[in-house]
Amino acid sequence: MGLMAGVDAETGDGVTHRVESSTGTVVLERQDEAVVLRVSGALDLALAPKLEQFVDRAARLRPKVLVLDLTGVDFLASAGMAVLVKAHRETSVPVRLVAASRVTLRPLEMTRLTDELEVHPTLAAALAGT
Amino acid sequence: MSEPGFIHDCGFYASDTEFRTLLLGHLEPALAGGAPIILAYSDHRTAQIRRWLPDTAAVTYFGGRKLYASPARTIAAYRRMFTERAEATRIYIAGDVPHEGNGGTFAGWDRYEAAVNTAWDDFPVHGLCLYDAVTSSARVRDVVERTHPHTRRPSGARLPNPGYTEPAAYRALAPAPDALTTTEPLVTLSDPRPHEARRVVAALVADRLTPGTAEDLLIGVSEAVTNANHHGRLPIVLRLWTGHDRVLVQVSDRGPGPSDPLAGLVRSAGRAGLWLVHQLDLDVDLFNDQEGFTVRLRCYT
Repeated sequence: MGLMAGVDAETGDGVTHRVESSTGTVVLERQDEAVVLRVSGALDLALAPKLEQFVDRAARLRPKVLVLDLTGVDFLASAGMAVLVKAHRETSVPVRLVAASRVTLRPLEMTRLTDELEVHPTLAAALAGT
Repeated sequence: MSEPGFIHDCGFYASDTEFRTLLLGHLEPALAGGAPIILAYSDHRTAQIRRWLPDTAAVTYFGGRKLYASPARTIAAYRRMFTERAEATRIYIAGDVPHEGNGGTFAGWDRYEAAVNTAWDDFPVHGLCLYDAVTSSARVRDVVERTHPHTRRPSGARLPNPGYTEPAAYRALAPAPDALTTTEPLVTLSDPRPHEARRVVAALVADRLTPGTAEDLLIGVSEAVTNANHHGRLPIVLRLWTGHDRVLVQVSDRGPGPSDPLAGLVRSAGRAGLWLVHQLDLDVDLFNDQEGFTVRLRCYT
């Protein structure tokens, strides 16, 4: 399974990139010195490799911080969590997560990933690092 | 020889006096040296042990058998407690593993008894699993002797178990089939994708389970289907039954199942999904039969 044809479009803030699977999407946005990957839908085996590619792509932009915003995620599978952990452990830039719903926090807590990953309740908090 | 990590002894008692002798014999070095102790027994037994041990002992008690929620969660919970006691040169533990003789079901816990030999070997822990010689069946006793390298006797002797089997070679007991499987399933899905399985199951259980339980079941279903797609052999069949008190889902594939008999019990990179399934608030069983490999998930209404 390769990358589906993404819809790239210029925005006022910079470049937006988007990739989707049958059940979810990832959107890459630059916000000042940060890069935000907004994930929505199911972060499962179908979307996980695409998110992984976007993490690599985001890291190459050398932002000060990389935010993985899971606010729009309605299902988080182990394949998705594996990518979150890999991003945190292997990416040269600091990685922060946004997760506030039970559907994402429950699996993260159950696997004790909340101990390891920096999780914020909102995108604003993640960008501010608070 | 270097100091061993996890030491796993068993013992059989025929009376309260023998239980006391065995337990206090095990804890003696801890009581003398102030080492941390973790004890997990029924409320009744816990109250008894509290009377036997000095108040000054560094004991953490878990009454009501609540530490033994499920094999994988128990393994993880102990690991967390061992980590919290990292400064100890030796941690002493003893507990009452569920089996038919104490009101539990041993199938599943036999894998636990095998798994801990490797799952805890990175900690300096000495465990003693005491079984009631009167209520433990011959089958339970046989498994206990195959999963513990040594037996401690009330006389104080500590003897090697000749039948001890390395965890990687241990063959798990087959769980008893659920009676619902003799009835027609509410739904059967062939070769479902994870998101299809989640959608169908969500619709069927919405008015039967609490939102939290339904959520755990959906995670379990999704991971079981993903696991079958990834590691199993087609066709994959998902079946769902509902009983008056429970929902049963079985996800089967035609493959031989994981080669590691401890799959799902211990966190591993290759089988993260199966491990996650075992952390949920569900009854999880894995078994092989003529159909192939099955992940069985049960939750109660």
